[in-house]
Amino acid sequence: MEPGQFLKKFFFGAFAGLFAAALLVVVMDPFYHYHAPIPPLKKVLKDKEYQCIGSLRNFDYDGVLAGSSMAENFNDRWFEKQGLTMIKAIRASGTTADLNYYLEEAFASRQRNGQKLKAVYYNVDTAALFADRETTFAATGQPMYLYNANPFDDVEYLWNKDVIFEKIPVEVAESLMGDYDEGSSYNWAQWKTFSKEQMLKAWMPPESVKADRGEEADGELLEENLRILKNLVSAHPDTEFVFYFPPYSILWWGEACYEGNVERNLHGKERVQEELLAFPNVRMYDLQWDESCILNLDNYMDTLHFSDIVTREVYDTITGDRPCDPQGTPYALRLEGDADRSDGDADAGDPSRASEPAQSPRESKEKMRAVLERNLPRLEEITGQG
Amino acid sequence: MKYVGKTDRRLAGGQLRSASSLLDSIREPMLFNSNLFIFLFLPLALLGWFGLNHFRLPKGAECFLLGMNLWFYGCFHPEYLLLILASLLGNYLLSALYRKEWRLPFLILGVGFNLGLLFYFKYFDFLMENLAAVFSGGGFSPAGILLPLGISFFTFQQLSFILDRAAGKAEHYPFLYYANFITFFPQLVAGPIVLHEEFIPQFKAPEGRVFNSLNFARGVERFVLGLSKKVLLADPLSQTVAYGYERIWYLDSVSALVLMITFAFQLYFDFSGYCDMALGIGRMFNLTLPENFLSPYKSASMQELWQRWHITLSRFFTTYVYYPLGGSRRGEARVLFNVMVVFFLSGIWHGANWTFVLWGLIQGVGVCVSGSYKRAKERGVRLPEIPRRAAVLITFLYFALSLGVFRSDDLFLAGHLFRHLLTPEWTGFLLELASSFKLPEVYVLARLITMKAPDYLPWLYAGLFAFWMGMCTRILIGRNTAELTEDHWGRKSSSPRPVLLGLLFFWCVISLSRAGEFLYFNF
Repeated sequence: MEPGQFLKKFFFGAFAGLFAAALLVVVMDPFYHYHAPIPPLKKVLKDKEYQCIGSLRNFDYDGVLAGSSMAENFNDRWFEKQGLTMIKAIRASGTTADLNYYLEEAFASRQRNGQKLKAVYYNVDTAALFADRETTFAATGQPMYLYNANPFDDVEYLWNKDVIFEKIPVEVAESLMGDYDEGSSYNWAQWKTFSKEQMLKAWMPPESVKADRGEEADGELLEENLRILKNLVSAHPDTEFVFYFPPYSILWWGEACYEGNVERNLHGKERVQEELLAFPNVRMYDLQWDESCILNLDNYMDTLHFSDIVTREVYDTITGDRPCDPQGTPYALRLEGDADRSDGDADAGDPSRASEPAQSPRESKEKMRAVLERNLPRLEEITGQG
Repeated sequence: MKYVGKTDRRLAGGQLRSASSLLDSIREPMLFNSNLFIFLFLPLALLGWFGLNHFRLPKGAECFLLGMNLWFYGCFHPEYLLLILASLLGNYLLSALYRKEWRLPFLILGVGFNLGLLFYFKYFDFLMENLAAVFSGGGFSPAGILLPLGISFFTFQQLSFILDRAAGKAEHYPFLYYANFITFFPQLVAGPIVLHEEFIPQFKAPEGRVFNSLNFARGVERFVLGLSKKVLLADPLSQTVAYGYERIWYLDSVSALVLMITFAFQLYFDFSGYCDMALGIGRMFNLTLPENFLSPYKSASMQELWQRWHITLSRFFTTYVYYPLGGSRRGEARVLFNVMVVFFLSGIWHGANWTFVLWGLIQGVGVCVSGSYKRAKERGVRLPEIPRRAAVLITFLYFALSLGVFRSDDLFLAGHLFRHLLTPEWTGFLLELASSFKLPEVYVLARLITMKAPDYLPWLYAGLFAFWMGMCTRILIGRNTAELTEDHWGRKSSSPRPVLLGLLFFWCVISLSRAGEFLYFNF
């Protein structure tokens, strides 16, 4: 064959295939990198590492639920009761810097679209308060071609066999053939078993216990993460921020004890709670001391991930339908002196919420400390591994 | 505040820690099989090289190419640019200072410098680990030295130059010729090991500086076929190999055998595919690089296999170790000794691990046996005749089983692998091993089967794996890439071959998102 003839035919074959692939991916866009799904396709959200950033940039919404895997099992449609079209901003590690990145992208995209972000529900993982202050996307191998503004590396998306043969068919199948619930974005609980037996498989107490490191441990990281949160809240005074501390099992606190981090965690939580509650557009809930939940190991699949039943209870709590535990202790938090306030005029958001019962961060901390003093010495009794 | 009453804790079950990958300590390189290389680096390199030469700036072109070569290498680990430059400049300086009357000190310095660098970066930690094991610590501890990619290749290239210089077979080349010879990116990190007399005459030839559409077309074809071998054949097999080696304890005799054969296929397609890409790129530059693989699995003896497998490495050891030791001229016993020395060194060259040493010795034994058999027959000794097909199968199996040692992380695991192979038992693990072979192309079918008949899902993947192995076997016994790409040029044709090649290239590009192992990057 003549070389010129060969090269013409070769490049024709090559570029015909590449063009067709790119066109298919741009139109179907399973990662929502370019646009929201074109009807009748649904918002099929199953791959948070790939889809989260695109959905935040291209969907229509006015509420964001931000957090780690602890927040994935909420159903977005629950928040329609609050008048919100909710979307999730999920980062596996839930670090403050990463979630802040997602939220700033959400705010920026609302502004571009002339829309307002009415509310942010934010799951605060205690570990995230002491995480690195830098974002971790690149370091953890995230597909940066979906995050950055470089159009040339989009070829990693446009010419991607996994996208063409897996993600697009899933998008089509879930949209047209199944009964996919768009509200169940990133839900993983449906495939998991929640029971004491299952949970104890993940429980590995170490052979020795470290001395507690004290409340000042990792103080610099705490202040950095607190600064990020305060900047986020203060930069968006018209948005209601609802922070909540999810109910880890008592064994999670057992691990914290073995690592010598109990005082650090208690202090960190109190500090963050006090600083953020000073903002008028902040509401806050702490569910971590709730013994009716955290001592029932059947609620969990490991030391911290809880079942759908608990997820629904958390939702009820942070939306005001479940203000207290069975003993009448409130989950809501307010600053000292504000705890008994009932006029409600300092709150951004639903004014009727101002009258809900609340405790101060100090009271919540002492409540948590009492729970730990009561239960950590009897972990073997609780786990049945004595 | 103490929360716990008891201090004795038991681990709730053991945890098996997986062996760390050989690639853990190495950064992500600029790979031939990447969009960045195919769509940016390579076109830029070609454009700059031929463009500058077209505008009668040959030195500019040589500088440009050298810059591209260093950029390519610097993507692996920028700090090691200093190493390659130091190696290059050190050898070049030695060459410049060489005088015939200084032959011996030149040789000592040259060989010492190159082997010293290689020893430090590749074998120092291995030596420390072994001394620590022998002397129970004894103050010996590894320094945690990162292995520079391609150090074995560019060191051996320079070693061959130094030795040829001392033998009067090499002149002192202009710096840009020499620097480009050593750093030429297609062969820089994984071979083939090119000799100066192969490269430099082509590099400096004026006709080679002009874009040649025939060479470019041949280079494209060779590159695409190599890319296909790597991305479409080797990489899918790598997932099954990795799956099996992570579960050595669960293997039975049949699955152990299948695992070793699968790795033999993977290694061949991976390494030969890479070399095809290197040769293809070289051809685009009007440079003919030496063949490194010529259907080794068609060999009827181990001696023949090592004339077809990693040919340039064999050539190096034959020229610079086997012949100086006397080659075949000093009797049978000396031949066997020389062969064992060569393969002992070859084993060590592959890596700082006792598994590579053992593997090398196994190769040596195989070559000794086949060599002795052949020489005995030539002397007229009556020996049983082995039909060629049987000989090919025996040779392949011998080599494939030896690769079980090569692939194992340590001798302990290699021992386990062979224990499972040699203990006749059947646990049915073969189905699980085969069903670890997954391709996105069958995802929809797999989902349908999952919904309608989930029990048959492993059989889908196992069937796919069997088909893949059958296809690989067919490819292995057919014409090799060198043969396929040489015979159809020069006349008009309506063959759909180039369009099909273009579609094959498209299939490779959309497969690039799947990261596979580049096995020979550790050498």
